[in-house]
Amino acid sequence: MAEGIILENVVKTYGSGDTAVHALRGVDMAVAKGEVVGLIGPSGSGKSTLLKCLGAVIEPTSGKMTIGDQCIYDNGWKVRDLRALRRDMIGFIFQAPYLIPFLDVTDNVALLPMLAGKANAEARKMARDLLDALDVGHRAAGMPSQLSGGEQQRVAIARALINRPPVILADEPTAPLDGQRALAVVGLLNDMARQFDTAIIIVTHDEKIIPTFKRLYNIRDGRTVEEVQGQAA
Amino acid sequence: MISLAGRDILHGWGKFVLTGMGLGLLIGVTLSMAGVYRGMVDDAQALLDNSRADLWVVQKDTLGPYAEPSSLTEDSERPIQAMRGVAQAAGVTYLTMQIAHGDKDVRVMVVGAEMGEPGLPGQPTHLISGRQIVRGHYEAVADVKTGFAIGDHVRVRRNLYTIVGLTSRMVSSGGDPMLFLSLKDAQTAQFQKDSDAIVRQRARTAANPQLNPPGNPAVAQAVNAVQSGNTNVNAILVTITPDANPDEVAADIRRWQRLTVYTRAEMEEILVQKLIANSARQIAMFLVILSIVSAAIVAFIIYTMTIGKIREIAVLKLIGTRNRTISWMILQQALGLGLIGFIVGKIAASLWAPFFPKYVLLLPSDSILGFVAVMLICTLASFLAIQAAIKVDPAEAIGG
Amino acid sequence: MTLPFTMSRRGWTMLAVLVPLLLLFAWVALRSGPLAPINVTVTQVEERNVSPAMFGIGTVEARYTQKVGPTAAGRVTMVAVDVGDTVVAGQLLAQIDPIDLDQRIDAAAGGTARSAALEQAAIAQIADANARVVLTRSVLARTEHLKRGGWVTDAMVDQRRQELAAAQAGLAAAQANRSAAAMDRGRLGSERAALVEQRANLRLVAPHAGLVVRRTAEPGTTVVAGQAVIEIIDPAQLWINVRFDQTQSAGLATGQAVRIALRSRPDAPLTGTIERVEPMADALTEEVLAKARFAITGNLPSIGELAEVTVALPAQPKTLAIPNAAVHRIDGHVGVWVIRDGDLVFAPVKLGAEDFGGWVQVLGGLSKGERIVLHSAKALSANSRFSIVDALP
Repeated sequence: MAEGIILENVVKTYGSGDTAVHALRGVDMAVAKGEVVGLIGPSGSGKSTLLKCLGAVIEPTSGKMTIGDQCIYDNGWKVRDLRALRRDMIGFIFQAPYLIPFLDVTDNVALLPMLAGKANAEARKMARDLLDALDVGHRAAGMPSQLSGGEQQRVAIARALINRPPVILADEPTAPLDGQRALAVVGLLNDMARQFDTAIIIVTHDEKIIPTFKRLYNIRDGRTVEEVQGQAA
Repeated sequence: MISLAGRDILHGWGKFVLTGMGLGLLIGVTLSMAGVYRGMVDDAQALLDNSRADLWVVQKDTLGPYAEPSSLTEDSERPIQAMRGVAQAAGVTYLTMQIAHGDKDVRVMVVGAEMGEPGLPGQPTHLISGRQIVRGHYEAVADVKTGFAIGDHVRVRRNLYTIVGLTSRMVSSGGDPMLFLSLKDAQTAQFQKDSDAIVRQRARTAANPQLNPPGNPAVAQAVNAVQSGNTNVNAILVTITPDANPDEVAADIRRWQRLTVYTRAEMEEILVQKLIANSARQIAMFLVILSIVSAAIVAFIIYTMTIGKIREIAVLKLIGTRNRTISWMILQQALGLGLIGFIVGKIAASLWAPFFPKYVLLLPSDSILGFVAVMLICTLASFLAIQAAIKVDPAEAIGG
Repeated sequence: MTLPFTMSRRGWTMLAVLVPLLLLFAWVALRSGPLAPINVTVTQVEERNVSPAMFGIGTVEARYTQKVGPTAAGRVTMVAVDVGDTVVAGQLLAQIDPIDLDQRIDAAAGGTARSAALEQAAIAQIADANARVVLTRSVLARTEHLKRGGWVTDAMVDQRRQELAAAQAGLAAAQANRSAAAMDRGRLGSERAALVEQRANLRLVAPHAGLVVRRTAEPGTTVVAGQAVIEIIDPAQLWINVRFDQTQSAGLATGQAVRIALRSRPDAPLTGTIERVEPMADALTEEVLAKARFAITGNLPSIGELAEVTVALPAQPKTLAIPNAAVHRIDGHVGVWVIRDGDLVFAPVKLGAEDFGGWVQVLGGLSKGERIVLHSAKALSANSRFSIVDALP
């Protein structure tokens, strides 16, 4: 199975000398395409820092990161345009949908391919197809504010998927949801991971969904501990 | 690529348009202020245009007749009329006074112009209703801003005058509307004292043994006659023949009539530079402050608008939107706001301009200048917001 | 309709606001301020009667004013009349103190009497001298007779002749005395008559029947020769000294009917006629002077009261006429703005008489029915944009 993302001994230290804070002390992770893994850990464990490093919004201090078959970091960024990297290689799903309120549903999803230079019509077609696949095609012309929370979440997922990134980072995607719906979201993400052949990392501390992961990474004191759960869904 | 700015504006267009209208009213005030300044200058110009003179002959060494009192005898015009290059010469009097109309007072500039033939300098240039003065006495043409109507009787000093015609934009340099009388009536109005003053003057003359020598009562009578009669004018308006050079004609009059003469350019200089300079500077200062305030408000509005979208901007940046795209979006919005503001401001200024007590002149060139300034200010103001947007950390979109 | 982007209802609403705003903006930009067309009203050149008239102002004056005063300096002793009194010719108005005039008349009378007595004495002397001549002539005749008889000597005859000559000389002297006395009497009589005449001059009497309008001296006042003590006017002979502007005075002539409005009664005009157009005009005020007689009805107007005089000139035959508000002067030419083929054209015109309604005759330059600009919101120029409205403003 092709790897979605691989981290080798990623270290992140804020500051230096006596006041240095060692957020990540050497993280190793490997998530294959099509796989959904959980990333858990208590507050202050370095979970957020890891997520930001994964999302290429902060630079690690050292280590190596590979997304798909491209090494993006090896003791220094290997790609010049991090924006394009984020746009094309990483999908983001946030705690709340964070849709752009002034764009309609289609354009919210189509924005990424448009930013990547695709023609508007083509991007919109891709977006509508994806929305259909996520069962929100009927709301394609609506504005985000007119959608229910679940629908918005689906649109957000569609947005993360649209550029077919090798990896999707989901930051507490189920936090505001009750158990039933949280499980539904995770189920959906699992389906999507398989359907679109992408690695999905779900950062969560939601006890309801933790048991659903086959594999989890637990961060403690800046290091990851891989756990395998047999009874995964 | 879609226009993010356009979509944003479209999304919150009510708020956007209302903000633009608010800004527009401010811009309208600024434009009006510029209009007030232009109006002042134009009032001065109108005074010169309306007198239809090429040269102003005034009392020697005075800045008359508008900036300083000037008085010269009416018959000084005759030798001037005979000079080469002079087409017409006509005496004129100016007197600013308060006239009762109904139960309120109207401040007017009483202009005495020679009415004998059409188109003499000093006469009203055009009428908006009624007719020109025909009778030699007791008829008047008023500027419409006096509020007089045709057929009204107005009292100037001792005499009642019938309004026979109305004109417009005939104002003094101070913006007071004009009331045209025949020259003789105006001389009477200007120089005739009230009855009490005349009686007292006679008594003074009678009491003065030099003016009233015993045994020769004719002297006192002569003195009284001299004191009550006046055929002076404030200036002589001169038009020149088409082939004449105003400076040369002016020089001739100065040399041979020993009077002070101003050409149109010199008169403009006197009116604009000397008479209204202070008020104009006052307004210009206010205009500058208003512009600065407007700029600050525009900057503030655009900054607030941007800060209100900070999370969206963070998300946009996280998903890979370029800074350039975001800056362009903010700039477009600022310019759009400026555009609406300018349009509303221009409309507002034009609509309320006629209600100002003094003339407000909105020049198209000022509007264009105003438009450029608004756009420039909006651009500058958006820099602040762009700066803030660029500083937004895409990481903020992620929970941490 | 296909649009480059999909129009939501929101978009349409926005357009519904912005489009009117833009239209308003365009309207405002083009219809107000300096770019706006100038509103004008138009009228047609028409044929009509122009009844020119002249308007002047003047003061009520008495045609004849007599200022009665002494011919020599003196003190006023008595004033017999007061202002407002009506007097008849010869009535005593005032008296000047004669001082010693009566005494001088008496002295002159005494002198005359004395001269008469002297004349009488001279007549008596003539009679006496005559008698003496007769006597000496008869004595001489007798002596000559005696001489022829040789009774007397020649010396005796010569003596008698000399006596006759002496008597004749005495007669001549007496006759001369009488004529001298007569002449002296005449002179003294004339002297007295002069003094009496002078005394009559100190009595100020009315030269003419009239109304006393001024009393300038009271008893006790010393007046100089020629100073008026009493002024009398003839109230039946009032006129108005009226002044017309020279530019309007063409056609003014004696005999024209006038309407006169006195300042005290502007609503009750009087009628009158031009009595005289003064040959001398006022050069300083550029006015023509005339006198207008009027018939007095009711109370006498005050002398010096202001009056407005309107002279109706003979009506002109029907000609083309335009309102004077349409007339302008551009580059030295008097003319009107004519609308020809939708453009403004300045047409120089030749103008004639003007009436008080503001109509002015057109003698040339326009034809009947042409549309001319009557009123305009601003002064026009040949390339002004304009729009025709019914009324301004």
